[in-house]
Amino acid sequence: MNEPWLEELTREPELPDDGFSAMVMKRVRRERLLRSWVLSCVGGLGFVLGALFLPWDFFSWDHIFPLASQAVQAVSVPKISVPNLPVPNIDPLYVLAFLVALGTGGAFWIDTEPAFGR
Amino acid sequence: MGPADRAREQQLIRRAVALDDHAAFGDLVRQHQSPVRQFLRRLTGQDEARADDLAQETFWKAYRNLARFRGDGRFLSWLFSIAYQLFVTDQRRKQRLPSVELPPDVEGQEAVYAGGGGPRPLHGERTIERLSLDRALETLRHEERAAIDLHYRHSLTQEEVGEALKLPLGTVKSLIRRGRQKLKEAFEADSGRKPS
Repeated sequence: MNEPWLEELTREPELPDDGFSAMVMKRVRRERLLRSWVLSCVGGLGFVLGALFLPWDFFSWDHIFPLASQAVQAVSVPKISVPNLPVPNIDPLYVLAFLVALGTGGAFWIDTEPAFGR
Repeated sequence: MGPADRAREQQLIRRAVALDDHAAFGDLVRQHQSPVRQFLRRLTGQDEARADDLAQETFWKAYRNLARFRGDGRFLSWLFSIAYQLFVTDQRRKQRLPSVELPPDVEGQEAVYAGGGGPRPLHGERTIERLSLDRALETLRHEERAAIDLHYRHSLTQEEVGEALKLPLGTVKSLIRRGRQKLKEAFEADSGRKPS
């Protein structure tokens, strides 16, 4: 174990951090934020497309909350129904702005909320 | 690393996985940045920028796969394993690209410093002996360099070296034996050339 190359190899001092870990953590935060943003955008897109193209009947009590609907009927409350409205004519830029806002908001929320891990 | 340090490390890993605790992962990075960067500097022939890029990639990959870390081995060995795989991939990609020649004045500076003179060393505070070691290490294949560095510099057992490099124990033993022999010869030859 007394070979000079080995002594030299084991003598090498520890490297100072020099901001390396801060750089790694910055990258971790940035890439997580980007991923959260993409996920939120996909979710937002699904929400908007659903709202635009699913028939309004889909959101009736009978579809989403059949049990709740039964419960409501059981206590003789009149059934709530949504009229079959036409699909609104929305400017695509508005949809885009909505997606960006939703995505950004969602990404920040997910990024700062510890309960939403990877 | 003692049992207390290991328990603390496990706790940091658990916090980083379960709570997605950035501070805990930051502590892990700070704790292990030096050995990982040193290991990659050895592999890249002291190319600090490339080594640090690979080290960053190593920690990012570790962060994404932290939940898969089983905890039956050392966390540092797992990091070395990721670092080595990234280095091998990068090395293959680099070998496919055409190499760029350094201008003669840059090569000259290094040679002057190695000879004991020169205004500013390219390798920071590397001594003549350390430069001899760097040159001797460059005569080794990267598997030998990795095995020697992990075993002697970072005190991994031969079994741990095998796990980190994904090689069987017999191969690791042979790499270390051959690497030692080559290093001894190259280091002595290089030291013999230096002016006294």
